[in-house]
Amino acid sequence: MTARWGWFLFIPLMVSLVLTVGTQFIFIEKSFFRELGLGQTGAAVGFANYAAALQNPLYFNSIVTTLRVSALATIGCLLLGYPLAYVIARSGGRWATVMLSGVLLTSLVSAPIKVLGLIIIFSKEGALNRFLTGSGILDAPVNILGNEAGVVVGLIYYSLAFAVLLLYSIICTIPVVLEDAAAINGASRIRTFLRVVIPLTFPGICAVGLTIFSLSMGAFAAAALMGGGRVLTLPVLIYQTIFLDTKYATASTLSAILLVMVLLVNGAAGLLISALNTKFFRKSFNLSSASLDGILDLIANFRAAASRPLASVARFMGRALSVVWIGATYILIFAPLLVVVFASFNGGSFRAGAVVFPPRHLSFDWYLATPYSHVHAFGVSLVLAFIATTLACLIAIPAGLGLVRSRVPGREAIAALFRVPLQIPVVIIGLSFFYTCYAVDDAVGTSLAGSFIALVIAHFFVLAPFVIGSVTVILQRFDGRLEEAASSLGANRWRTFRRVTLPVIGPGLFAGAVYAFMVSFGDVPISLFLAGPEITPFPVAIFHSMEMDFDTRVLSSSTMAMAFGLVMLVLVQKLIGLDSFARSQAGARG
Amino acid sequence: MQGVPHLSLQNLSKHYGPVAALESFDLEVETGELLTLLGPSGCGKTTVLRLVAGFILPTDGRILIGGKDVTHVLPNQRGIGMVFQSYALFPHMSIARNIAFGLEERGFERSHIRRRVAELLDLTRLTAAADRYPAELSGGQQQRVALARAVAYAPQLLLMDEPLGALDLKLREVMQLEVRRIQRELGITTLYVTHDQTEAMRISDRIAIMNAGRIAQLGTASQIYDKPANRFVADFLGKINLFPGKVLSVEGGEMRVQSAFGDLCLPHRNGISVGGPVTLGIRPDEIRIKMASEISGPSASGVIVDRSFLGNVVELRVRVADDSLALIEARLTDGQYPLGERIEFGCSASQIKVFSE
Repeated sequence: MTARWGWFLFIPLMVSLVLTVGTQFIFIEKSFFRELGLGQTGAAVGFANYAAALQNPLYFNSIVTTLRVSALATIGCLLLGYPLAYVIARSGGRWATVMLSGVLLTSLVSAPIKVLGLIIIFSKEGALNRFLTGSGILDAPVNILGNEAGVVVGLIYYSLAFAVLLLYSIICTIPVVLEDAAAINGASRIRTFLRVVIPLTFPGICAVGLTIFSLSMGAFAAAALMGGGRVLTLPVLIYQTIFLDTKYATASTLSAILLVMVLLVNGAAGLLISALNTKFFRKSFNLSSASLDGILDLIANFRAAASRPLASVARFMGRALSVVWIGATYILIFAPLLVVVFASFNGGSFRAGAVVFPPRHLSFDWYLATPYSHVHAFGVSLVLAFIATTLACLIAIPAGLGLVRSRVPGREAIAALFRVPLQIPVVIIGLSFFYTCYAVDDAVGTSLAGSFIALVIAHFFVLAPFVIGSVTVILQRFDGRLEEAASSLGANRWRTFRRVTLPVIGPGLFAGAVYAFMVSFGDVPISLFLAGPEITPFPVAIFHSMEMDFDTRVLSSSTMAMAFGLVMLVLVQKLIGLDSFARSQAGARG
Repeated sequence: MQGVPHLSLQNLSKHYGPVAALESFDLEVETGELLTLLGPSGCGKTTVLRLVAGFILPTDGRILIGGKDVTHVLPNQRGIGMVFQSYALFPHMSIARNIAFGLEERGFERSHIRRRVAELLDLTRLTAAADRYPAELSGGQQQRVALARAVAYAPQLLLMDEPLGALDLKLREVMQLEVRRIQRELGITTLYVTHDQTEAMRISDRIAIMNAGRIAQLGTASQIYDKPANRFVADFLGKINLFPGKVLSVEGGEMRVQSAFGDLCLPHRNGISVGGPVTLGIRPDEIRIKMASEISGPSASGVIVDRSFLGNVVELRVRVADDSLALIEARLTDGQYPLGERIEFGCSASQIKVFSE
């Protein structure tokens, strides 16, 4: 019985090994050849490219820039995201569902569309600058587009929704009754937060922080578009090194450096979490929080004194404050998307100058004139996402069953191998598949480069871990006695699987599949490297349009893409409930 | 303060939308008393506790502690101790720090805190576990930590929300006595919530039986057991045989009731009129098995269809004339009572309870 489950792992393991090791080996190998420029490489030279990269101030500064903007974006995400996640987790019921759907929707929106909204808000002639100069707060418009501040803002928007989802799932694990217990023992709201909620979620906060940090280091579209190609984070630099400078070996070298940095951060995250879970750390953490008590006493006593005579007023004020804070965060999350939606009804010329926010009049001109290239790109994205997701599901079921049910030695390692694509920055996945296609074409005479098949395989590679993760999570919660009950009632093994196991793991599979679908549907970097001239997925079309000659109709097309995302979300809510969807996703990641 | 009830709930209501969890609820708990709210799940007993704790605000009504209106006071300023159903121990703090938490939050001096924690560890026999974490303790130990934490600050009022629900039967009985001992030793006014009637009877000074957001009856365990106010209370606390009857006539202070036990002559109760259907109740241990000729009061006969040996008594289910089942507790010293045997039994009329519903 248990021996058989092990065989379920065979095919997923082989596929994973070939794709992971193969592609990463090919691109890393490239970095050891002499850079000749113009797409040429010479004989193997060892670490010369690495030495050159670290000595070149352009490249070295890029590493520093990447670390700096990623750290700032991470701090921003945690500060903005934690209170929101806390309120969603604690409000419960209908409200929580509504707020969660909002966050989920924005997390599924493709990066270029978010950036589109940010550009309209933050550009020199944009809504924010006009308001600030118009009301006399600023003398001259402030420009953050094309500099590091803009990139930080872009990166925060890129991962904020995801950070909220992760933090939400962590806060959900802390029973509310612990906060009640703190309150009845005399702790104010603030002190309850500082002594109970924060310490208990601290390992989680660290893990989320490091996840967001590594996500930010690998983020491409947000950095490229908000920085206008002038702020060179590593992903942007890698992209330019390949497509502008055609220095393939150097691009490999930079990618390898980025990969090592990201893996180090992820490794640190893992170590930190296990360390924080040990008793030793728990104790020393307590000591540090005890020394913090003195400072906190001051704040707490002040508030207690203030609230004593007017307790109900204090209660009301506390509520009002949290409503205001959450409302503000929500506006921040939604503003860029709403701006895109509203501005898409401007109508008139297709030139950038026609984009005015708020729109002067309501017009469907841009919708009616949707270019064929956008429609085609939308179709390509749909087909691509559908095929890649289906393949991911087909591999996820046996992989999940094998991981959870078998007793094969080294299951932990196999599970880790399955998760590897989540650790690799997407830019590097794009680049490594790009190199692999050419290497395979050269070796066996196929024409993978620029083909739809290459796109499908690369997307499948990225999506599989999401589906495997959510199937594994739900299988771990699956009560094995259900299958025993079915067989005791006379069902054979196949009918047990079909009538009991599959329906129970179905929602997990579906949640993973929908999420994977939206990840594929919103992807830029992988498709950017692999798309041929004939097959351009939708986000890449938007990206190109924003990077080259701005066509206002990207606004209307983006609005339609978001409407599509909304429909998907409604579907999820109807079928399995958003709450379990969000949690299964966060669970699959962490 | 003499004569003022320690905790007073006045006309308390709590509505969730159109649903009333609690309706015009009045209750007074005397100083040093342990009063238990007993009722089936969903009867509103936990709502009362959460209102007193201040976790939720009432839709209407007032809460007074020691004569002071605390209806709108924040939970952390009510000076209440509480033991939660799942204990709610802080998993990231040692046992000693869990117990110290409430004292630290209320700004006691470090030396005082240390002394008090040591005292409570001693009282709850947990001194050896002071530096361990909640996850490393057994259920019974966790329960004692929760109790120690709740009383550390010497609160005027202690709330306990099904504190023993998670323990197994044997341990629960030990802890019931332990809770009672500690509560008496500290003389602390306690409001206790449970759905376990044996537990309620074992530890309470008084019991309030709750049903559908209201108090069905308030009194000592024996008052409620012997004189249940209505059919719900009689059925909820202890076992009882309920059977229908019909009032034939009312004369003076007595009424004649037609029933499976024959026509009975019972003391008349207000609200019962001639011709009305009533419910009669008799507890299984109040029924005597005898020959019909030996019984002076109401009697009936039936066939034993089920028999369970419970140690001190044997529980018999007897099918009587109208096909209903009567539950009887008999002593084995009086006979063996095999299945299928026809027995005659009776009781004294004064033990029959009459309910108007």
